Amino acid sequence: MKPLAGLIAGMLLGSAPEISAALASPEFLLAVFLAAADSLIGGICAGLDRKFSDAVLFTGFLVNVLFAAALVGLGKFFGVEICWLALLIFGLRIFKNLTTLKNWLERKYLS
Amino acid sequence: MEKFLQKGWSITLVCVIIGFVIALEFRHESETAARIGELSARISELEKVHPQASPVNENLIVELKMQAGLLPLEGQGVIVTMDDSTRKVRAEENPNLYVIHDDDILRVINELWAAGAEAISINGQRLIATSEIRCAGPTLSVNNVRSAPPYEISAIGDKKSLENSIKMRGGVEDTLRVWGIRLEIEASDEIYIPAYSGAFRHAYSKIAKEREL
Repeated sequence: MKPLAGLIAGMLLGSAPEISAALASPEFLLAVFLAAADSLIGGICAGLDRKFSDAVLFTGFLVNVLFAAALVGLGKFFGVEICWLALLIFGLRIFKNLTTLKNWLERKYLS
Repeated sequence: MEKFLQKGWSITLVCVIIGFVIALEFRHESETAARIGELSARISELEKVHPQASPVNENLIVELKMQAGLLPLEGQGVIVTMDDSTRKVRAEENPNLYVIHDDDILRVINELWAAGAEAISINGQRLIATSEIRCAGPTLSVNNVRSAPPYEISAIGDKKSLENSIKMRGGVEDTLRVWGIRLEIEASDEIYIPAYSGAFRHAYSKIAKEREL
């Protein structure tokens, strides 16, 4: 139940008045959210395949967030909303991993 | 499964971040809503202070257009019809005395304005601030549009006052009758006066600051 506790802890941290919500651009927040969701579901899928590694998940997440942040900044600089590229890729991967997860659950509980 | 969760500290970390982002976004949302409410309250407050500063003031525009002669008007008033004299001109007399001149029309118009006419048109040409009334050969030019006799002058205003202003003893009608110029006045409750349809030109005038004179 650590992840659930982590979720609540994160929410409390985000609600702290010292942290200004105006600082983060909505694109970047969404990118971070999707990267995190992607890592989470990807991690669960890897766990099912018995290939899970904390280091892989953490570095993957870090690199994804950094690249997404770079895209957001670049998009702001050039006036082209290139951050959608990152959002699209994260979304696609989440869907792909969700399908894997669903297939695994199907195999385990229905057949 | 339980073991997998124990081992997965990175999963917990990612969950913390997800929670953090969700909370931030919630706050962003509510702050935006609060700001929108605050700004719209400020707008309505300012509109209360300066009602005439609101972007579109329909009443003011209609009022100004009415005053400028850009709207057709109707109401009670009179129609004055003027035509050239039918009297035979004697050999030694100047025939010019027996045709309508711009002065005659101007005298009628002047009387009508003085009697409180609110809008006047001559043969369908609305008189505005810059309208000229001028002889152009045998015709009359108003708003740079020429027309021939008979001249029909419509005026909106108190029909009794307008009628009396023309008919008063020693007034315009009396004077013009000497020359045989026919002048008929018809009071009516349904006078229609068209809008000015020409252009406005301000080639030389600029808006100036108000000065003490």
